[in-house]
Amino acid sequence: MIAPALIGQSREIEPWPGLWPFLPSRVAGALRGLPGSVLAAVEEIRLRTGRPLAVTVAGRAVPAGNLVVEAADMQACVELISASSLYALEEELRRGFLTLPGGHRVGLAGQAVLSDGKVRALKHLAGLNIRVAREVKGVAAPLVPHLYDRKTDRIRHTVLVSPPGGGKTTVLRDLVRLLSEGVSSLRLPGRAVGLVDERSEVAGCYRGVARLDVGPNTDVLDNCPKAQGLMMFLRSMGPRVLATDEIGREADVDALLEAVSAGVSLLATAHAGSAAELCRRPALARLMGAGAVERVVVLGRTPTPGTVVGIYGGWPLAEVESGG
Amino acid sequence: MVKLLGAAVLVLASGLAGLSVGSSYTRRPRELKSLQTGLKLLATEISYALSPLPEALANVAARAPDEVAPLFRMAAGELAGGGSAAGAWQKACARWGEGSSLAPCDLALVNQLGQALGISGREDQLSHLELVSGQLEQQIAQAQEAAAKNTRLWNYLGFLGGAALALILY
Repeated sequence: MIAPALIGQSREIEPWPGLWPFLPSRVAGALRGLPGSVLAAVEEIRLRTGRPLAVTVAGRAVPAGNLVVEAADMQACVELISASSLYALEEELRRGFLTLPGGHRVGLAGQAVLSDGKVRALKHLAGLNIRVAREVKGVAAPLVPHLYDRKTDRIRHTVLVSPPGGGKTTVLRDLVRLLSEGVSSLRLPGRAVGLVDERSEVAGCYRGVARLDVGPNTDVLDNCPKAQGLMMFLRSMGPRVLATDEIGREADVDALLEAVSAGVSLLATAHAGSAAELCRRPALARLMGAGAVERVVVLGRTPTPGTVVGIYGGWPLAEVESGG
Repeated sequence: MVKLLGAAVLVLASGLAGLSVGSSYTRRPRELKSLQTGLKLLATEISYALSPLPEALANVAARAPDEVAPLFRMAAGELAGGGSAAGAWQKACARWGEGSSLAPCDLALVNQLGQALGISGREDQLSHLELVSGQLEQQIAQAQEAAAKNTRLWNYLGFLGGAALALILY
């Protein structure tokens, strides 16, 4: 294994302490009843009105006690996560998620309110998916030597790939932190990193300030569309590395190609089960065909999210390092 | 001499009681108007500043007329202490209502606003605030009418009633 386990911290410290104040008492009570090992490994907490409370552990839904989420629990949770100010979250309701301090992301489901055929907001919220943000410092350290080209003192253009829940965001966050700080053992000096965090999940920004550690030399454009954000950084902030989460649209690829020709290293993540699947995504194939991806790091869920399955390079892609 | 002094005290006490009842009739429309101003400030905070509710309430408390500022300040304080917006608003209403001159029906109106506060989109919040503001308008008209009729009545009634009682007892 190249990357160590992401999960399994001890129970001594209550896991995800920043999240408890946002959970209604009945829900918090049911979760506290779970065994410590399960609680430490919780990836998601799912509340659905009229349905049993569930948590996701290692990609599988597990019921949390016998609690059936009532409308009052849902209402209380919505009030807590919105600071009783749902009216101030119209943009978040339109996008379908909001970010809590600490970077925990809450996906929202309910009844869509349309305007000119587009979703303007959500009402009657009946489903919440709280994704627990995990900050695992050092998880990306074993990857850095594979991505750093010492001769040219640059970071290779890299895409981290995994199915949902594979630990992409956690690894990206740590990679950004390491490149920003520098790694003395590799004689890698810290460098300016521009992070375009469209879904506020990497840096966990709350009111514009990064709540998770993304390094001392990192600028974050929070909540900003990727294509626009990448261009803004290129023009104004002089980054040496540009990082962003979940690329895949043609507009993202156009912006990334522009950044590559400006001499900036790229760091991105994409949804795909394997390198072959990544090649089948048209926009990403175009990016790779243009030589804008030098390394593809495939992450897997087993035995733990964030485990490196393989590192690929070149075009067509060929394996340069095996994780097994 | 003692009787005369007693009669004077009786007239004075009764007169002051009358004045106090009379002034509560004058205070009610004034407080209702202040409340309406406070709710308009809250609507501005919600629609333009998009401030989160605890901050919005604190901002309104800083700018609202003195009579109603404590209501918003108490609600902001309650909300900051955790719990739901409805609970915080209702607790603040109950505490503030004790010292105000509002009639129970006015307080019920304000109290009921808590049920909607912060739990829906901007337009919905504004329409709730407008609705309560409109209902307050009616209450203001009614309170002004009652004030015009009753203030002078109670002012005179206090002194004259006291005088009549003094004469009977004399």
